[in-house]
Amino acid sequence: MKALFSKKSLIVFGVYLLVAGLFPFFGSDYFLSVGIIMGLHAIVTIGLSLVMGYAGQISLGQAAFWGIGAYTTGILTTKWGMSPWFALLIAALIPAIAAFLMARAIAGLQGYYLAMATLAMGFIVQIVFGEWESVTGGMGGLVGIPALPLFDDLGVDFYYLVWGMVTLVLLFSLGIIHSRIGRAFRAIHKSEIAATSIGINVANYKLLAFVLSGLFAGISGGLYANYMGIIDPQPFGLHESIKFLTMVVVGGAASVWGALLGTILIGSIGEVMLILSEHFPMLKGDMDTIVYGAILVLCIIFMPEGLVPRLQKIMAKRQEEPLPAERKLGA
Amino acid sequence: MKTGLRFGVMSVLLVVILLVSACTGGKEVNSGVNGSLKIGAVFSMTGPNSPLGVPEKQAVEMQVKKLNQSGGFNGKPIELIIEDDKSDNTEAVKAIRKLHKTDGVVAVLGSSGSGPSLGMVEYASKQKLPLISMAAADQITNPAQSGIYKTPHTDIHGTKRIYQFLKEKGWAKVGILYDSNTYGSGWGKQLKKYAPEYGLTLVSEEKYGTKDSSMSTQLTKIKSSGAQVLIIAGTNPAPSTVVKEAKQLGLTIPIVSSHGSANKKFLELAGESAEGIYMVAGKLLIPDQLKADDPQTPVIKDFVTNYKESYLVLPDGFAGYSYDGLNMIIEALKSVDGDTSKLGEAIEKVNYIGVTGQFRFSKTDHNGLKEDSMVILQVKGGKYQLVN
Repeated sequence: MKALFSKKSLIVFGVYLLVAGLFPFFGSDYFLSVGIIMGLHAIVTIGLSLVMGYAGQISLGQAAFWGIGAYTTGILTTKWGMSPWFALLIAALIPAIAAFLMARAIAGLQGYYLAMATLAMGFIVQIVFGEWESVTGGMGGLVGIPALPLFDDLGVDFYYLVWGMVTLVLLFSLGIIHSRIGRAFRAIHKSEIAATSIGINVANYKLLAFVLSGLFAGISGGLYANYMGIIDPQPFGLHESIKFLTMVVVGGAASVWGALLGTILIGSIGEVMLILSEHFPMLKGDMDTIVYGAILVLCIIFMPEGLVPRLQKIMAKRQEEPLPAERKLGA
Repeated sequence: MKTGLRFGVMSVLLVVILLVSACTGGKEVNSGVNGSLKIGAVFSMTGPNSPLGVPEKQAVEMQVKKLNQSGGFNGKPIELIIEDDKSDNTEAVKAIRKLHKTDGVVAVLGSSGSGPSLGMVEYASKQKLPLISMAAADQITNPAQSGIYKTPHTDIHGTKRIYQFLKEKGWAKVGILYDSNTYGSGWGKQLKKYAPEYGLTLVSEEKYGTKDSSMSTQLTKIKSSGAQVLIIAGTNPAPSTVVKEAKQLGLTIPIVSSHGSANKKFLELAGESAEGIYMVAGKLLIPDQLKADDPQTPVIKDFVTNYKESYLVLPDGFAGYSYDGLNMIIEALKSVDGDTSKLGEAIEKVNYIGVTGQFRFSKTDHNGLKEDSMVILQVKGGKYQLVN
């Protein structure tokens, strides 16, 4: 717990608060919407980093939980006339339950098999969104999802709501990884057999990691539905899952901050490309996908541990005195 | 704790770089041509909807160039700002926000796909920003909202037009086969809804997945159902696969395909199997066979000539959708002497003869087209021929 409140951590957190808090005063309204989308993605990727970086499991179907959250809000508000706030609460719970059921079903799988199972689950969920027409509205989706009361301007107000949520999720995750649960996660990541031998209930901890990631994805999905006002199955497929995965890997899977930084970095690339394309028209369109791909490949070749752990390592090397426990987190 | 400080400084630097790039970007966009009339457009130029988005973009670019050569609007040059939504809902909403808040456009065209369009409609109707969509979904203009319009033929027009034709031919037992995507399932719904009104019986209802490589299972079922005619509703390449396989399976009943497949691509893909296939489509596909007294004829001929000159290919229906949308905005602006605050309502009163059809909007109808703007064609000798 000590590491959580170290001077260094507090500085990093202070910088984060400053930047996230002041961002709306610098950008235009358009960049506010970019910030909102980034925040929504960050909530998902922080959850995914718990599953991937800490518990060492892979999930290629994270967009499915995101979608379940979005559809829960969409269905409850448009078809049942439920209050958006109450719907958001349920939108967090349903994906968590779905994650629990999925993790229970595939608890025994590891490595490629687990990846395949999560991949399949992602496909199944997207197909259900598209085909269960009476409930989900089919391929046409759901329209007219109401905005959250008190945050219905979908501008600065919504930005602070989203980033407030990011901060909560961030603090909660930092708390978890600096606790007994976090140590158990890391033990499982290193070696499941060794973890079992020292009395860690591997299955339960894996389950917990998935449930938490489902919960976070659900919150984000619910907010996404409120923000967009419409949903259809398109955003909740493999493409989005891979994007989440890229964000986590680039930032550094074994770090909650890494997930956040990776999200911001990948999110910014598209925007920087858009600005550059004003001067260099050849950068328009799908070029950003190529840049994402290149970054991912370079990252895996030269920096497999990701951005934040690498930065931590560089700094640790420059420092004469040995680093406290923080350093080993990068593993 | 030097490390902490250094880490902090680095993070701050990184963020400052991002913010600076963000701010400068915004400003540069703002300082466009002074005093120009800014119109925004969001098209899907990449991703699965790109076959729609690219001709849409080309058509409006061509028209803006032409309008500017003849003095623009009220002496002001028209500045068209085009964004690519990558066939993605979230990107489309981001794009319309940028066009509205950063660029300050007076109206927006787009997008190509239904999902992105619906997302943009949510934003535009809240912000009172006039929007004309190029997408198929009925929900875009149903219910009609102030300032929100769309130009394409809908599945309702297509369904009614085909059913009229079937009635004339006396084919009462109908088999339908549609794509499970937004476009096809929309058609499926309307085909089922309007069949009783025209005294037709649906003896077989089948669907397929957009990426399926074979539909022979569905076709075998349709063959044994006793259908006298088969209606296919989908976007290319699936309908061409269907007609090929129908021939292989010896399914000899007449086949009518929807406007989603009515283009040159279908003829290329289906080859000889396309022979004899009926098609419901806009008049744009057959500029040379139009009746001289049709008010649309000169408009279509003019558009086709210009388009062919600019891009060396014939325009398809999608190019027509965005072309009509842009012209309607200009017509409406003329009617209110350039007062952009009245633009949203003014579009409703515009009586515009376009390449897609004659648009007559009303309080409850923001599509404005009727089924008579569509025609039935038949493929003969590798070309589309007008049937009626």
